[in-house]
Amino acid sequence: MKFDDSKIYFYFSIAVLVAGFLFGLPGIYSKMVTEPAIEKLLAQNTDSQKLKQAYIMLRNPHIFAGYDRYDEAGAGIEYILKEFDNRVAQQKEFTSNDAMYLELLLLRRQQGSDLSIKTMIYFILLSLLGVTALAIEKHVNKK
Amino acid sequence: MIKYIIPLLLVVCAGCTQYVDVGDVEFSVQVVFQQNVPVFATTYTITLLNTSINKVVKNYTATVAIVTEDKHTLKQLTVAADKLLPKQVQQITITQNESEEAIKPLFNELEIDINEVIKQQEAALVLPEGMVKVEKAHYETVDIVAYLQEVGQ
Repeated sequence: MKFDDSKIYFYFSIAVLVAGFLFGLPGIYSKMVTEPAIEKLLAQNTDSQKLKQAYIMLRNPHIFAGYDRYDEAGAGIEYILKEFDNRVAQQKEFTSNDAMYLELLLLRRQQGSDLSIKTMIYFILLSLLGVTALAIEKHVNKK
Repeated sequence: MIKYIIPLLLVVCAGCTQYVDVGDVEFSVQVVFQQNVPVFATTYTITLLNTSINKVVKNYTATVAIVTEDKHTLKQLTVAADKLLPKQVQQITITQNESEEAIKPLFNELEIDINEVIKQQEAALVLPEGMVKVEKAHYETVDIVAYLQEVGQ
């Protein structure tokens, strides 16, 4: 008795492809829209208001690089957030020296985007694997 | 098949949504007894910590009770904080003059010899966690980004 696994392969391919796009979309959006906007603001590092705007944008974390989860490399982020939250709340000025710390936050965001896009690629490869299996299954069934 | 895939996708989506940390406040209470005959000047330093990284705690009020091992309330203190930014620590100091009779149960619970305090003129200690109970805490939480946008303009 021979089982036809075509349907399983078909739905598997579709499911992982959809999941891949869901994982990848936040990264693509961040890379194409949010990060360039932040970089533009950081480029004007003598303007306190622009740096403040950049910080507020960075304060909204990337879904793949949330501020509530730290590894060893990101441990110092918490102190940057505490200091800058206070500074915005007390309406203090940002200086060009602060741009360095804002770039660290941007780097964390970029790493989140990379993770998001790499996860998408991994899922697309899984989907391709499913499509290959589907093609082989159909070929075998025809024979 | 599709009826299995939809729940599976929902689980994957739920798994990747951002974990939202509800604003929360941690407490510690330090107490300093100063002998100031015939009363004791007692200073309670209450340390509040907003444990959330994404939420601002606003209009915080709470009653902090100092309790015995069998949960009998020895003392009640009311604390209030206008706002606590994420991971921010705020200290509130409450000083009260208390008679020897009133302070005695607290000394007994802490196993402090009242005569020793009178002799040394001062005793300072951090209350054990089990003796501090937070009652009637009221506060609202605001997302940090919304808050910064509001004040940053």
